Amino acid sequence: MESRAHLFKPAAREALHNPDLQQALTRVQAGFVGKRRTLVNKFPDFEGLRDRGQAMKDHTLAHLDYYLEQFEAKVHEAGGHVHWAETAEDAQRIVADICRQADARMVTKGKTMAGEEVGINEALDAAGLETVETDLGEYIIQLAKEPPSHIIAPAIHKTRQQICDLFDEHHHQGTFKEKLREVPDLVNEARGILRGKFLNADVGITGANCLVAETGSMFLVTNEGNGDLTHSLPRVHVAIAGIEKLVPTLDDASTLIRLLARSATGQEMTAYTTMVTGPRRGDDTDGPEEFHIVLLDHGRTNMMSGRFREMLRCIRCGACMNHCPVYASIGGHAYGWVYPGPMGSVLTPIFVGLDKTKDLPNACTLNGRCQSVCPVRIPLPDLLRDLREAQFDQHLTPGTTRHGLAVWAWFARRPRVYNALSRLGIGLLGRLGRRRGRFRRLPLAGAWTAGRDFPAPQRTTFQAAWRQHLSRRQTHE
Amino acid sequence: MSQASSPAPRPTVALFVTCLVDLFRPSVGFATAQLLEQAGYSVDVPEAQTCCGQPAYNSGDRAHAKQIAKQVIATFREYAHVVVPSGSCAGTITAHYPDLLRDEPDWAQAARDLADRTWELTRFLVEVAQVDLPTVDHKTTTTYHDSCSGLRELGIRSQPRQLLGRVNGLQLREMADTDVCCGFGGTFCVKYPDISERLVSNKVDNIAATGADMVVAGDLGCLFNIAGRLHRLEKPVRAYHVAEILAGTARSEPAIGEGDRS
Amino acid sequence: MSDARTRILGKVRAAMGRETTPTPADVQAARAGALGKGTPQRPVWEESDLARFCRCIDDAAGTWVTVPTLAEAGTAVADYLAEREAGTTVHRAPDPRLDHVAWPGHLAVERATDGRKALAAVSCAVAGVAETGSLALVSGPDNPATLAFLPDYHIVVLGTADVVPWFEDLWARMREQEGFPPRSFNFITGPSRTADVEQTLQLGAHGPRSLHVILVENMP
Repeated sequence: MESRAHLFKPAAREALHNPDLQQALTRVQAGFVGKRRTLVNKFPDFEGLRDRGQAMKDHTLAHLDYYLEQFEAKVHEAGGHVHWAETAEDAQRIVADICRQADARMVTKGKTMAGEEVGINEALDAAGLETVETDLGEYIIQLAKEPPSHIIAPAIHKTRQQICDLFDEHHHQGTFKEKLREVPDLVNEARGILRGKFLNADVGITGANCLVAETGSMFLVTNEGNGDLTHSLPRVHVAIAGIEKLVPTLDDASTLIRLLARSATGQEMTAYTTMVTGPRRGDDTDGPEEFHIVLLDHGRTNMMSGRFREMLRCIRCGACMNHCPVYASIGGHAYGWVYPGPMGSVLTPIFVGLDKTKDLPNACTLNGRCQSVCPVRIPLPDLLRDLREAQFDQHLTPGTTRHGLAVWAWFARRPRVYNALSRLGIGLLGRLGRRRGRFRRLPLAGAWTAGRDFPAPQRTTFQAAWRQHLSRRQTHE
Repeated sequence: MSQASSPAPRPTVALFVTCLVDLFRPSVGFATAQLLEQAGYSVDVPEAQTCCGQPAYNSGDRAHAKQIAKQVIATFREYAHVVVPSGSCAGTITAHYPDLLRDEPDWAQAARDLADRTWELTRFLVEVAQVDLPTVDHKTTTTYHDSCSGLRELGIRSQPRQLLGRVNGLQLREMADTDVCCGFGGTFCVKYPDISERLVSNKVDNIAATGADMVVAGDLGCLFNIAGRLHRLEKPVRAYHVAEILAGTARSEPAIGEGDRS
Repeated sequence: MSDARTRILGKVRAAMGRETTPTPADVQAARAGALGKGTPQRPVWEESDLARFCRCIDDAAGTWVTVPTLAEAGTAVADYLAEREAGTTVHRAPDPRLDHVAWPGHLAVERATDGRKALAAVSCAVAGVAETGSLALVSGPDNPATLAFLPDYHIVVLGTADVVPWFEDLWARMREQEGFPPRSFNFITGPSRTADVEQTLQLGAHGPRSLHVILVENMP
């Protein structure tokens, strides 16, 4: 998917003034945040579980070559195929080739963020295949020709009314069916239409929530059951997963799922958690004849050394964006690429390029709420700050900011000059604002005073007043 | 120079007043000093202090951030306790200086040492001083805003509430989403003013919904942001730093953003 | 061996500062150091495992009933279908254990090799996990996987003795079993659902609209 992250500012402004989007976004905080909190409070030692999740992922990443090789051998043992994709183009070519060899016409797809990352749908379109998203949220945005705005709730930016309109436009043309109004009717209509697609698909493509080295299995977590219909019904199942999805054992997968379900949707367990290992066995009466797993690098190995390796722990739960006040204000599309919110603001600059994503590391108050809920304790604010440093070092920070910081730092490092000068400046500003106590407008502070008054300073600086206070006190003594 | 000549020597704390208090609201500095003296300490205000360097640090300007951090470390080297009336600035020193200076082992050690000696005001009063402060009367309905750095970097939540609980006549009403950012975020508020405005509007709505006549916090950055928005929307809620309430100076001092005769 | 594979593994090793893959012994030692030997953090409960299991099914919008023997599961199936006006035809998994069920005469019972034609289906679970109220189903000729996803009504038969406390207990058991892992090992926790329209929970997204568990006290 092509990045539009360079348009962050105008996109954010538009989002802030989009009433439909704002209405839809109020639901993120209300739903996910409360449900997660209830379950976390119920869990005996959730902090300990987070520690374990972090330690388990760190261990896996530190021995990733070992676990990848083990996983590959086990997939082969189970009769599956393993493909290695270094780039988005590799992944596109591999998947398109599998579809071509299967003589496929129709492909059903479960939600896969790795697939979004490498533009699988575009590749399948180019190969002349009919591709149908089967996760209801993904299906809705496929009809709307939009990218997902949330990694686990891709259509969260859409209101029911907009979805009713979309379904009317795409499902009811040339019929006498009335426009739907209620959620159950929408879900039912999509169920009926997609059921036909499931039963007729030649290839099913899914992502994977984790890969288990011990058994060569992949786990797939859904609530709708679309993932299972996608991998069970067609002749060929293709899964796409980043190489960081490995976990060593089934017990580790259980740790990860305990964290994932609670952090993502606020459930103890999703309706369907499925462990898939290879293709249909000899005497099975259903299931695909072929199983392929595409192991995707796409820049991940560049993150293996240094601090950004911490980001590879990410299990794609979405808790960081659910708890991000900036995300809650502007939604996911403003971030301009596949991954929005705090985790996206770290990943997108790395995957797309620092120069094309200048706003993302900066559009954050560093309030740390994301880090406090991250199931694998990724220090997201620190990583964003590191990206700001990289921008500064590469001269991508605006000249005015650099210059301003240099001037300010010059004074800050010279306390005498700083104190003398600030006393003068503050004295003047204080006299101007004392009566009213605040400014509605102030030169050079337009960004602040656009929406806020600026408090006027009191009489003089503290440093000056304190020295006076001390000398008065000494006189008294 | 501020060595008191009282019979039993009082332990000395250094006050790191922060640049915002120094420039815009000295009354917070005086309230802090008063509280520390009431708690039995003698207060020093080293003249060489300016800013903790957070603007440079959070803007990716590591070189300047390091220079300023070293200056702060040197300035406060001699003090057993450094008290800061801000969770944000205290957090920069305790949670970030050691990391900022990680590549220079001597400085990193000195940074860890300073981090161990540095306290946000309310936490210092509750966890270190542990004395009963003189009783203060202030009849008000108040809501408390948790600053993000204080809350998440320093674990400050119960301490200010515990101290406010001892103010006669003060009734505390919690707002919704106390753990959500007010949208200040240092330079964020001027780099992304429209997003920041949305966040502070949400905060102000939550404050107004409590029906409180006063909002109190431990960080001047948040307070300026919140008070500025409250005034712009002409909401009748007054904003004070927690030190001003605890010291009892708030009753005679105009609230943040209020004029001498308002 | 593809070039991409060599390059990806090479970059991983380079980042870790080594030229070869570590040995299993090294990895095991590192793992023990990183994770220790303590039990993983997991939910705890005061009631019996079975009671917890049933409560979690309730929470997940599933239903359950207990019967003394497998023979009586037939009546339970009929009652469930009647209550939901789900017809009188049921597709049963070929699982030989279901041969012990005494099917009431008015039910049309068909053996299914997949779920394509089924409106209501009966499968057997290998285990239940008390921690979450999840049913564990093993795909294969005895219990075709699609039987759990295509029907509107899914009925699962489970022996009460097969309820284990935590996932780790289940893995310990499954590792001993021949043929594990199957192609598809399914944990099912309540009926299919979606909240993709305005975060409003709606049951019956793509899979079963209703999930019913028949707990058999004396499973053969």
